Amino acid sequence: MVFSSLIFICVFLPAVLIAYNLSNNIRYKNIILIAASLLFYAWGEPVWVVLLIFSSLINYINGLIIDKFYARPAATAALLSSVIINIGMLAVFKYSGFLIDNINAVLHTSITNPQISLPIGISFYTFQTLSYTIDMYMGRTRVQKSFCNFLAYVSMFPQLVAGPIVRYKDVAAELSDRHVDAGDLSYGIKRFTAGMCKKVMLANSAGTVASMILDSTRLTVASSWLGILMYTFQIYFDFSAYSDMAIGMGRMFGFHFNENFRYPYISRSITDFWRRWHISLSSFFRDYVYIPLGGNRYRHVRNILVVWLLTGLWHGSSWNFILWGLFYGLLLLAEKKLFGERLQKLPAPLCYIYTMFFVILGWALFYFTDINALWVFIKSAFGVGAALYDLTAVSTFCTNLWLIIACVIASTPIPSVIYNFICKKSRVFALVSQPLLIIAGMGVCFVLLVGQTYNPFLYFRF
Amino acid sequence: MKNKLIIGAFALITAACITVLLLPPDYESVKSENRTASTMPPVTSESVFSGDFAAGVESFIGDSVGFRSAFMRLTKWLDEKRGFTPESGKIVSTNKDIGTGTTQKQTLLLVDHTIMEMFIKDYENEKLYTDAVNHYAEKLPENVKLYNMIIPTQLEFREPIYRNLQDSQRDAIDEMYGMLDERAMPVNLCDTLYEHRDEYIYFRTDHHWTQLGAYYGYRKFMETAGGEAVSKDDYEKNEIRNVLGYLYDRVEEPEIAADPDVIEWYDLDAENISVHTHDVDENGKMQTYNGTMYDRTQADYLFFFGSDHPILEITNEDNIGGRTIAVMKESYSNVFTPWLAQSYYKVIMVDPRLYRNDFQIVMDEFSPDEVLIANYIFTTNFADYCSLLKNMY
Repeated sequence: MVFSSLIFICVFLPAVLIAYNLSNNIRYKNIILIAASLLFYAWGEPVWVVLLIFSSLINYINGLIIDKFYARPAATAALLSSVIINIGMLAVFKYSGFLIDNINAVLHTSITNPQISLPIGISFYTFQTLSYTIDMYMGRTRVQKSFCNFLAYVSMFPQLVAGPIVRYKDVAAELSDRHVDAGDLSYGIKRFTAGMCKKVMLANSAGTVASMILDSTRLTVASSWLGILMYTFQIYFDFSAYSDMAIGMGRMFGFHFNENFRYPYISRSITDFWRRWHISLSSFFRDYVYIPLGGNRYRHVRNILVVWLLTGLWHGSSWNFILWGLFYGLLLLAEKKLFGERLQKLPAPLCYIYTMFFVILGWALFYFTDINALWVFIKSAFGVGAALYDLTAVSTFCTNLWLIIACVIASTPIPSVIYNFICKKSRVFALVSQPLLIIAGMGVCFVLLVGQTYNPFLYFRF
Repeated sequence: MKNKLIIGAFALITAACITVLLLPPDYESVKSENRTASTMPPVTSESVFSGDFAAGVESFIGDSVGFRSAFMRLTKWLDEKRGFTPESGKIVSTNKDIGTGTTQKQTLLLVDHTIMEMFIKDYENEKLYTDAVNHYAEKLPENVKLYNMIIPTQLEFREPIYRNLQDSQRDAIDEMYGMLDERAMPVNLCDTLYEHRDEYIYFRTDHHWTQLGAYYGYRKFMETAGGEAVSKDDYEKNEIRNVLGYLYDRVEEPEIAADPDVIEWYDLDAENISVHTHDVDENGKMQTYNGTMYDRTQADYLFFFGSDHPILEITNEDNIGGRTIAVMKESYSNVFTPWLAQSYYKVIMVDPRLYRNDFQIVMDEFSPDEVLIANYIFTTNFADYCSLLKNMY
């Protein structure tokens, strides 16, 4: 089930909110949350619920062992078991096909590709359960003795299938003691509505344009850049919208999730970009891979390249994602070792242009899973064998001009700054504007959801 | 106070949305999408575990919304507000289905009050399509002739500034014909239709060719098959005015609505020609019903045979003793076969999207001398159509 669907906003969410608030008993609330989450997860792919429960059970048991045998070999064995099982699950369900295809290509063998369909959200919940056992082992968090509470954490539907990656220690206390007041509920509603509007009004519209251009086989310089620009907007509004809705719904149920995006498209460098984009993933790799490998004190270059190779691989089992990860690894190394300090002294507009040029180019590596199509795109974008522009580029630009301007503005804090300024000037506006915006926003989203057929969530496939 | 207002607003809009879902369904917009409304799927362990049940429920809810037509119009209106339309033309992205169950992305070019589909070449589907045709070449009895006719669309014949926005249909057709078994004789329509490109051979608001375009296709086919074509001038021409086609429903541009199409049809349904529809019942027996070549209750493309049917049999009593031809087709042939009926004793139209039985039953029942697989080029891009075509025999 996806958040931006009629069944979710008209049936599932209202029913769960009502059932959840029928009692103040935390055990009851967790059971409702688990039941709702398993139904949410099973809606499209019932079989993989078994895998989700299996993963939760294994990591729950390993947590108990680590707690009981803390700082003893049995705890290390439990941690290793957790790491091997989680990474093993990813290897089998996410990477086996890719691995076999490449072995067959290199060694000219004919091993049968098992064609396993990717269980939704596996990349997110395996990392979450890993964070639990690793933090347990490192003494950063306390054991969860209730399987019910642990399953509520792993399966929690607001962030189950597309993040953000919520670490156990960040919500440990709230799993057994949380309260929702009117402030939490209204904050959750505002974030959920904002996310829904970003997804349905901006991401879906930008995505339609992006795929129309990028999936065509006739690219010009102008249409290539226009297409990838629209994809740049689509992926940001899509993924950040999902995080907004997750954070909002989390708050409706009494959880405080960390922010996952901080206006990444106003970054002044690639380093800055990765402090603002998918923060829960980059901080996961920083804390659980980069620093344990030695961080910037021991084999710095290797550590960065390893982290970014893994970041690329995490996003998908395809060479383009590996290229995308290494592309950022090299850019970050270049900033750290070659021109990072000089970059800081440049005028801000030049820094924005520099950053966005590489970010947009990076999204091309991300979009094209077919390396040949990627090569065709890159050649077209830089004018090799492609015309400067054609009717597709001109027409698409004109017919989407207001959308492009809206996307540019919505990628920055400008709307928020203006809104807060007006609220400060007018108390009446501050009081009535948000309820009206919620009615208008959700109303328009409902209408668009009835009419839109293009409604994918990009990060579902990870 | 502020928090309570926000919670109240959210509760209010959610209740309003739920109410709209519970209102009586509005199926008008579903009809305009050339499909039937989704129904509530049955609960079976197979459908639940495959995810089909969930998908079916979501489709059912989506189709059952009250005021759906109004919401669709509002969505289109909002889409229009994304920018402005340049004079040079407009490109619109939408979805396409040909009644096989799958939906594909479709890009439309709007120029001079004409809506044209933009073609994207797909080698994998080209192979699937030619494999299906070659399957017939392999299985048909030796005495049965086999033809393949792939029909290009009008954008292929427009000025280069527009034509070059899509992949060359001519190249794709040539490539597919190059992959055909020697037994399957290709019917090359590109040059023929190009010669008549300034005539009214395609609708401006629909993806089909007109009966005039089909006439030129028929002449070319008869030339390839070694038969004599009738002259269109021997038949009276009639008109149905103010027609807005399938592609218009995808874009609903007011300027195009102000300049609708005309269906020109020729008096080809003489008294000596009879039409019957057939389908195979659950016992494998052919059932027969009366049909019509021109459904005069319809004022759009459905005028031709009323709709698509699993099997349509056209018999021309003037040609008793003549040849029988089976045409494997989609809707593009509905304007073409009335011409063909003038030159054959029987024309058997078989629609793989609707006829879900063995083609051998058709062979046994009608013993055709010739088989023509005729499709418009966009159909060849649908893998499931290719499978239906191949698996039928």
